[in-house]
Amino acid sequence: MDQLGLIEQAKRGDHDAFAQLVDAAVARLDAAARLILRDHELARDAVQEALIRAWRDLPGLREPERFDAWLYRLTANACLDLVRRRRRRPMEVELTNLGAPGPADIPAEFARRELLAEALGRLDPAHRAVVALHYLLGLPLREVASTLGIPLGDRKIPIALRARNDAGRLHG
Amino acid sequence: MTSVRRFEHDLPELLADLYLGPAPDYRHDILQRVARTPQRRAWTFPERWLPMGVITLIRQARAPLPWRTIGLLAVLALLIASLVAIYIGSSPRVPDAFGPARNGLLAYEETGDIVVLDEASGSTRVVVGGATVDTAPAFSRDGT
Repeated sequence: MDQLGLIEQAKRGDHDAFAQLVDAAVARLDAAARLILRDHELARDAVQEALIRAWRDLPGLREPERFDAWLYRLTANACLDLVRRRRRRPMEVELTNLGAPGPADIPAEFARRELLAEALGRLDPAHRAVVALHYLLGLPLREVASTLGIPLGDRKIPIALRARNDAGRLHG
Repeated sequence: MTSVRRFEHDLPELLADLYLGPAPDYRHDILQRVARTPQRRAWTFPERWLPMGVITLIRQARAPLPWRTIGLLAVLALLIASLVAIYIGSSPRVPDAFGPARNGLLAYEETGDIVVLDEASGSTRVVVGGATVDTAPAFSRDGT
C-alpha cells in the first residue's frame, strides 16, 4: 500500500498502518533530532514526542500528501521545546555513521566531517534546526522559516556566515 | 562554483553521512506508547470546519504577544494611577456652601421658636418667636 493509503488507514486508528509510516520516517527523524540536540537521549525523547503527537493529531491532517513535511516540523518543534524546557547546553557526543561505506580517502573525509560537526556545534539549536530541516530533510526555506517562526531573510544570514567561515577549511 | 556554493551543494550529503543511519532501536517503545495513546476526534480540529483562509487568519492573529512592552505599559499605568490617587487624596476640599446653606446659617427649633445660628461667629438670633409653637424650620431657595 502506498503512503497515502497508509495515512488514511492510520487516521482511522490503524496502528499497523502507522507503524509502517514510522518505519519509513524514524531514521530521518532521529538523524535530524541528533543534529539539532547533539544528544542521543534527548533526540530519542524528541522523536518519541513528535511521533506520539503525530499519532494523536493525525485525524486533523488536511493534506496527507504533506505528511512527511508535517512530521519533520513536529520533530523540529519537539526538539526546540526540549531545549527550552531543559535550558542547558547539550552534551557533545561522538557522531559516527553506522551504515554507509567509507570513502576511499578516509583521513581527509573524516577530517571534513569532524570540521562540519564542530561547526554545527557552534550554532545554537534554532539554527541547527534550520540546517536539519532544509539541508538534511529537504524542506523549502520558506516552510522552514514558517515552521520555526523566523523571518525568511533572518535565518539565511547565520547559515551563510557560518558556511563562509568554514568553507575555506572544508574546501581549502 | 564558489567555495560557499560548493559547500552548500555538498552539505546534504555531508549531513547524511554524519547523521543518517539505520532505524533507531527505540522504534518499538514508540509504537507501544502509540498503542496506549488515543487519537483526537476529527471533529475537534477547527481546521475541519473552517476554510483555510480563516485558519490562516487565526494563526496569524496568534502572533506572540510583546510581553515586555505590555509589562512596561502596565507599570506605567500603575504609576500614573498611583500619582492621581495620591493627588486626589492629599488635598481634601470641602465644596463651598451652595443653595439655601450659602449664607452659612443653621436653623433649628428651640422652645417653640425658630432660631438661626451663625456658625462663623457663633451668635444666635430668634427669627420666628411669639406665643405660638414654631417647628420644622426650612430655608427658601434664595437663602432667606
